[in-house]
Amino acid sequence: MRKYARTLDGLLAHAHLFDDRPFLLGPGGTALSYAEFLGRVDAVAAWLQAHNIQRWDKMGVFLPKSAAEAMATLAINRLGGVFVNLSSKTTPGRAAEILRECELKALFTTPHMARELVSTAREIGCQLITVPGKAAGVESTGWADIPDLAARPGSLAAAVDNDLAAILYTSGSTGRSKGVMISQRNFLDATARVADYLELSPSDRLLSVLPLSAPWGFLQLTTALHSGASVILQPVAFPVEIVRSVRAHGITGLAAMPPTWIQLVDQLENDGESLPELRYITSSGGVIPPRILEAFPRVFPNARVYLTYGLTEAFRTTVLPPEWFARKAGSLGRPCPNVDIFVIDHGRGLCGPGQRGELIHRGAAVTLGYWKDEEATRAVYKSCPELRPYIGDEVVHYSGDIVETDTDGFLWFVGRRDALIKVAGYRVSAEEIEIAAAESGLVSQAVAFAQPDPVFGQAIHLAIEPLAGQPFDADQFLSHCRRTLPTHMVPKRLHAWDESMPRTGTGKIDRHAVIRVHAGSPGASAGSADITIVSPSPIS
Amino acid sequence: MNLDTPTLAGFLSAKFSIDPAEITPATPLFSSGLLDSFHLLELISFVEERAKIRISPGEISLDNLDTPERIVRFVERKQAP
Repeated sequence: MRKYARTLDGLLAHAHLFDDRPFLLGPGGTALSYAEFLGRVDAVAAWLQAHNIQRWDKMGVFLPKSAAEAMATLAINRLGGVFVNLSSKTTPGRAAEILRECELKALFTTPHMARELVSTAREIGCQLITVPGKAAGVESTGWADIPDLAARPGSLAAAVDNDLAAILYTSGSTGRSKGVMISQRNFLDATARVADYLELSPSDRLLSVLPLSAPWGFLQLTTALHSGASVILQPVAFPVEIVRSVRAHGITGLAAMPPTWIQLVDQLENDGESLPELRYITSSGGVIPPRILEAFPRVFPNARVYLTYGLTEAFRTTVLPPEWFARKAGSLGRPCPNVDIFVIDHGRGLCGPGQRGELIHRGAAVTLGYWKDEEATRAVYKSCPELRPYIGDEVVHYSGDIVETDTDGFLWFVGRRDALIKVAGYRVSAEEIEIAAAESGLVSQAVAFAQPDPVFGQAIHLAIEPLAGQPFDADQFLSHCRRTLPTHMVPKRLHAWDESMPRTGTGKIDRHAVIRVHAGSPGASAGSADITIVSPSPIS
Repeated sequence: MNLDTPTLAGFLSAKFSIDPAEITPATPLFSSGLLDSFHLLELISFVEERAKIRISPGEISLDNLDTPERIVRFVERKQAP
């Protein structure tokens, strides 16, 4: 009898149903059947167990998109452990902080990164496993040296569905990136609802363009395991490479964020081509411009379009069903099954159609909070006074997104409650950029803000006040930013003030006044990321 | 103007803080994850300006841009009369 999977380990056991089918095609042509993939996951899990890794231990995965990345991540869950998958954009400095913050017991990474992180790893007792082989001069185990097993091991650890499965880092509206604690239930529930609405089957072949360090990218693996589909890993998201892969592998499903859709559609339209292979396409992570949405039926003639919404804190929670695409394109859709969504007008109550309020998540999609950040957790994971008559003091998640519902029950995005910036689907905190700017020792004040960008949605601009009495060296400043910030957070344009920025009555920088001065000034055009210094005219 | 692999390596290390020792003519830049889509835009601007060519979206492929030597060969083909 088939067992109901409540944990990722259970999902892996279920996936043996598809043993003789192809599961994964990695970069460089590595093709693995379900049996081969699951066997290797077992081997890595058994090796970890033999090296004193237990339930609840945290282990990191810091690898480029590859079969090894997928296998390491799932092997950690096979043991009831917690995986911490670091985005390839994480700087070595931030990675070292995360190693400490999460007290990682093991880290899967490249020999190059192992050399960067070896002293931190030694200090906290974190074992290094390097892919593909042992790192010269660093105490580590080579991925290739982990032996395969002769037989399938049974259960390696008991996990329950409320166990922590992963800590995935994302920017909040303030301060450093935060580790979102995701439970086994969060993943399993999302896997079932996404596989259901996409109607996935063993004949589907998904192209994995999204990073596995984001829940949505990881769900492509789990929804495939759930339904017997195959996954083709695509490490480079150039439109030409996506088109090539879709054709070469007969891809049926493509999930991507708006910047990819914009570039891909422009390219296909420009060449007068289409991708009839695709059975469905699905987008999340921001708004797609109307001209691109309008081109979808031409360039993806056989594709059902699923526009979706979600956050790392509550992922894949709404979907616009394809049959509504023509009438409601641009909407966030409706709540998925088993997801409760409320729109709240603070202090007043629930919003009716046409009334703006904050989107609140309730139910199995709500994650467990931020790792070791009680204050940030309490700010958005809390009970909701407006819902008390119905659910008492149950904890819900405050998204920070302002939305409104139309008379047909569809949700529409209106704006953010805070200063969160979104670049190419990546959340960026203005404060984190300002902290990095201050740490350069070259500026006395900095204000980060967003300006519209045709491809990436928003671009980061930074207004700075150079240190008094020193000539400002923009190259040196930007090179500091590049060393200490992930690339998507490096300012695209600098606005250097040759006089003091406006202050409020208490002497603090008046952010809004600074941003107002620059609001009309030009953003760098797409295709040119040159950073130039502009000097605003003095404020009268 | 011509573009050679040392010039490219110099640009990559100066602009993106990559260890110059890591960049050989055959180093995969994008398929290895060393560079991402944000770097791509800056790399294209640099190559366009330096070699006085225009790169169309359809030419942004791994065949043309994944390693310094591929970039140099691609530029030479574009510049050929």
